[in-house]
Amino acid sequence: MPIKDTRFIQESGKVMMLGNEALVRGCLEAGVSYISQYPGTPTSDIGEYFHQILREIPDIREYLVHHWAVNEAVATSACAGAAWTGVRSLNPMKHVGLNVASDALSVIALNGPNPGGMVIVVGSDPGSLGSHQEQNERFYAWMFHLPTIEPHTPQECKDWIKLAFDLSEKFDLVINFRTSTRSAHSRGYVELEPLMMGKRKGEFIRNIPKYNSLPPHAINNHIRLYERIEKLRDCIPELGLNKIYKGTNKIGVITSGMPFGYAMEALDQLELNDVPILKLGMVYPLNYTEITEFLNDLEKVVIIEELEPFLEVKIAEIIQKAKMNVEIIGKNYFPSHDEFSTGLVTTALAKIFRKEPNTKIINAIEYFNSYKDLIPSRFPTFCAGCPERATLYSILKATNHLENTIISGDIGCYVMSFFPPQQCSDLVICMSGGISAAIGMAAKTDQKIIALIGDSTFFHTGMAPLAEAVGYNSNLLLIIFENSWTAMTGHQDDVLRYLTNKGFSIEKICSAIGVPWLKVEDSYNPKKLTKSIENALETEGLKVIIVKRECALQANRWRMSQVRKLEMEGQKVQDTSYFIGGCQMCYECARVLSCPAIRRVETDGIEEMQIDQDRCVKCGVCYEVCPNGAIRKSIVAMEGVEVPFREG
Amino acid sequence: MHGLAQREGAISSHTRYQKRVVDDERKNLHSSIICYGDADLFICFEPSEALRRGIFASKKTTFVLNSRTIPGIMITANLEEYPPIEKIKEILNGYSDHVYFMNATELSLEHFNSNHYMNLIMLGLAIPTGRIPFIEIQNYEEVIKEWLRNADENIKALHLGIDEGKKIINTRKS
Amino acid sequence: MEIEETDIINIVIAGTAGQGVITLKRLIEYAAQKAGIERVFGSEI
Ligand SMILES: Cc1ncc(C[n+]2csc(CCOP(=O)(O)OP(=O)(O)O)c2C)c(N)n1
Ligand code: SF4
Ligand code: SF4
Repeated sequence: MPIKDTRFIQESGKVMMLGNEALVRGCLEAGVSYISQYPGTPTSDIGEYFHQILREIPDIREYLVHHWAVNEAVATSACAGAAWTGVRSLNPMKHVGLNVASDALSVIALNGPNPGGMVIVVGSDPGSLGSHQEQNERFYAWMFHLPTIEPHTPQECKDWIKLAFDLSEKFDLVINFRTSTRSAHSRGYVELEPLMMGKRKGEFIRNIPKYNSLPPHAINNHIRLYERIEKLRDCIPELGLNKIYKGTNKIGVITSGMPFGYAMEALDQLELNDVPILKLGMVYPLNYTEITEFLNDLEKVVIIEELEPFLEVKIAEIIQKAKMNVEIIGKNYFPSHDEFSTGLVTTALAKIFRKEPNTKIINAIEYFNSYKDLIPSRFPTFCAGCPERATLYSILKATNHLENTIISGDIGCYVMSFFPPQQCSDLVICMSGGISAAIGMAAKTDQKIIALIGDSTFFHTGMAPLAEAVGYNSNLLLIIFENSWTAMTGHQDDVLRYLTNKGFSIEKICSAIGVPWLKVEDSYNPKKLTKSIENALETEGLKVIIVKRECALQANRWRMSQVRKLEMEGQKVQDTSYFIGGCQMCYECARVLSCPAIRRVETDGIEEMQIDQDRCVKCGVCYEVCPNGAIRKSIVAMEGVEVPFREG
Repeated sequence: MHGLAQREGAISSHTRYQKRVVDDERKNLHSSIICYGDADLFICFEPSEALRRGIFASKKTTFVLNSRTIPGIMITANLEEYPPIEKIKEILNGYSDHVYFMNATELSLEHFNSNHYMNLIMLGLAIPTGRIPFIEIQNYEEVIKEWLRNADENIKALHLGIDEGKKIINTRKS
Repeated sequence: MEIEETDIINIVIAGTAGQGVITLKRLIEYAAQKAGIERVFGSEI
């Protein structure tokens, strides 16, 4: 972590930034004054940078407000609300967040963000690098008429987000700034420009036809939306977002965003430096003249875009309307799934341009394929000491390894439940999809049903389905992981924190909603938790167990900082360690709990389990569960100060 | 930091740089990920991770590796096998002669009583291979002082890595 | 091997979560900036 990071606040200079950092810098240069977002890769760190800035320069708080919203729908409407008081608002979300926000956005787009400006940042994720699915959310741009900008470099992230705000204000349109996991986390130099303070206060001015959508206003606003988008369409060539690289080849390329980089490098490798290229900075709407002029001298045009064909369809529409004779090459040569790479694009372009395939790439693929089956799998798994992993252990014990039991999973760190060896999740839909699916299952099967949910997901969209489950007294057990963080996305300051500071708690909500059977347990006490799950599953109707235990990663960070502090003060600190002696190789800790701090070693032909002292966080769960008493606990410096994990 | 990719999972990153840009603008536009076979240097903190990213390597690649393995839960559970270290070496030698192992984790534990300095020790091994050109040791030192906690230890770790690294590389040359 | 100033240097850093892959990547990039390297780019995942 940087100690002296002035990149966001220095007035000028050239600095190195990630795409997301540059985007934040651009917002500060554009005078943004309200940001609301629910975290999600690859946009979570945007909020973290704003938090860092607000922490370091408290004076700015009057002009800049950042909210971690409970969910994307709330964040999007909150940003519209702020824009309607005349300020500039920013609404980052991951690609699936747009699905949640879409209902609100469909109306906000119609009404328009004026007098302020509103930009949504949608982090797409081709290749599902940090998500549970991949989708081409560009189609929302078409559906709701969201002008869509796609940056390639950090410099473009900074410069174009500023432009996005100008366009939003000028044309009364919500601008969609579409990044990707790759562009958000790619680095480069950024030339800075002066900062601009956001508005301290705005004012809402009543305008019933603009802000109320029902006929006749809904229809009028729809007509107005077409007028606004057409005005923008006309001036696209002057915006400097799209760029043509000239060439004499009769086959041209149209691309945008990260695929532009793959395409340029691929053409260079194939020595095809005469190919004309149109790089689109704005992928929606398209300016017909700009496109037809580019196509004019071409016989064929290659569209290089990830996921479902969007540009291909829009360009085909233009070719058809202009009655041009240009062949479109797109998804017949490029996949509609997964992330692209220079290697993939080079291989496809070699075929299209009838070039010899690149031997360097072919050799690399072939040699890699010759040994790739030997590579041990390393899927993400719960951290050492994770309370969620320990809960799965208790679930496996209480159900005799899921006998006649369905686990309706959900999204948070516990999305990893389905991985072996625990394999403790039968399905995952979307945030709160687990409890919702469980309600339907409970209505139709007598199997035992356990639904999982985390605290952040509970606040996101989980309370409504829980209320429904109470209403129907659905025969299911809901396990709520109260780990005090939105852990999966990098430990954002949970909504839970500001709610609990006001005396709010998940138990109180569950009781108030009317949950008939409610227990609070600790997964670091696996025997008691197992018993509690057994009892719950023997009871008819709705049951809720709240597993209260802080995320081990955060808890350990906190604990270590306490230890460091005490040691600096010259105090002696008590240290507990766990070690294994007399291991019987029963695999309870390795296959049922499967803590990653435990490894199997062979010394002189004898196999045994061993604990990696540098990775163990001392949760003590393996010590509790070892059936042979082979896991031992030793306390060093007994007389020293004890630093336990913090409670609640 | 970036979501699903962590939690004990495999992590990799690509760094690309060019001392001087060329005049032809078209030739200065590249992808932020390296093309298959194009890596000059692999710095691997765990041996099997070199294989996982092997598609980016070729005969021009130099490999520096931390020899400490992290087997992962499937191997501990005896449901999968970790390839023998000799096999990993053989595969990497199939790329190039420049494959250097060092027990950086052990060195870190031994000298600093913590595994946190392994990455700087590994940078130390990478520098004498000459595959991170145009960057001076004092450039790293300046950045460490500005950006990292425990700067003194990190600088010490870097030099420890360089000293140990030179030994490893020179033994191989002689 | 001769290295030209206009060559692109490509470095892969690989490891597992918590080993400091990203820290080392950033360190090299910032050091490159200090060394007056004209272009630095790359991807963090
Ligand atoms: C609609 C939507 N928004 C955001 C995300 C990104 N996301 C995945 S998991 C998660 C956090 C879940 O937190 P919590 O339920 O508390 O579980 P934890 O990770 O703390 O175990 C988020 C925000 C998503 N998958 N879907
Ligand atoms: S980040 Fe926290 S909740 Fe997530 S796997 Fe690690 S310990 Fe468990
Ligand atoms: S005490 Fe046992 S279960 Fe807990 S982190 Fe250490 S090895 Fe893992």
